[in-house]
Amino acid sequence: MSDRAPPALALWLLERCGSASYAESLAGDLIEEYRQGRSRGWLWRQVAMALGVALQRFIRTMPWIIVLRASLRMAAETAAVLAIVTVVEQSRRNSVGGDAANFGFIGTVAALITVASLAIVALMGTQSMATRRQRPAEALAGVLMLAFGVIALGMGTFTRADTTRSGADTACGGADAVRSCVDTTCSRADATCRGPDDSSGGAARRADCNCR
Amino acid sequence: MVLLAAIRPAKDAYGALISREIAEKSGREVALASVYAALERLEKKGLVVSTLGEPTAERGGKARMYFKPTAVGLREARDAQETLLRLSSGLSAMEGETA
Repeated sequence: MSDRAPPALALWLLERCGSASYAESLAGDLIEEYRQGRSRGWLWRQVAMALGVALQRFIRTMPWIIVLRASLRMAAETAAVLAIVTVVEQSRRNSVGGDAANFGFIGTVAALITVASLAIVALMGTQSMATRRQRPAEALAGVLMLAFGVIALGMGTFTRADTTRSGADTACGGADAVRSCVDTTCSRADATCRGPDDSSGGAARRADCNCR
Repeated sequence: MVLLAAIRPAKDAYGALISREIAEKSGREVALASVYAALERLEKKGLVVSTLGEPTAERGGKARMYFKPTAVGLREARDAQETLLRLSSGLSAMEGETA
């Protein structure tokens, strides 16, 4: 038996990415066989196959059901929150004299409620599969994702509500809007003022109209 | 095939040896990783048990993992052999007819 060194990269890959339960013994077997005269090509082929087996196992045991459940939960929560936001928005519009029987609004809410209901039904359907596979860390990750989703959507809703309120302020509610209204009045006055000025000449006389 | 190859009188069945045994008896090269994956499945089913040997310098300081069939494993191997014999009896009869 020679003591030639096997390719370090191949062994590193095997120990890093191979199956944890037997990677060390397999690496030992490969080193032993290599020192007994196997080629580098043989060793690399064995490592490639070991990585293939590990990848296959990872795909087979991948917690796809958890990914599916998280997506369904996100869809259900998003649809539910959007439905609530739409209803609130519509009722606000109605209170300022909007159209109460808006078919677009009814359709949107109906679609959102349908999506939320379907997602909840699908979630309940995957419940037994998930409890069989879910580990405590994954359950914690799910709860954190849920909290993040609720907070993010909640913040989004409040931001939207604020934006709507400042929109209402522009109708001469806030200080800025008042200035803007004054300016508008002024520019109207200015325009009126400018009418006669136009005949007598230019911007110099605009100051006489007391408009900034 | 892996289970049968792991059944050895001396208790020295380990991955490379089992792989070599299969290659010699069947004429097919089997990847070491596939042998280990099969042995791991057999161990989960309770058909073999594994023990770790001492790390040696020839193996780069890595220990060998030895596999030994359990009583259940031996019974399963025996059942598989009998089933194979029963199923292959039709083959002998057919060869007698065509000869």
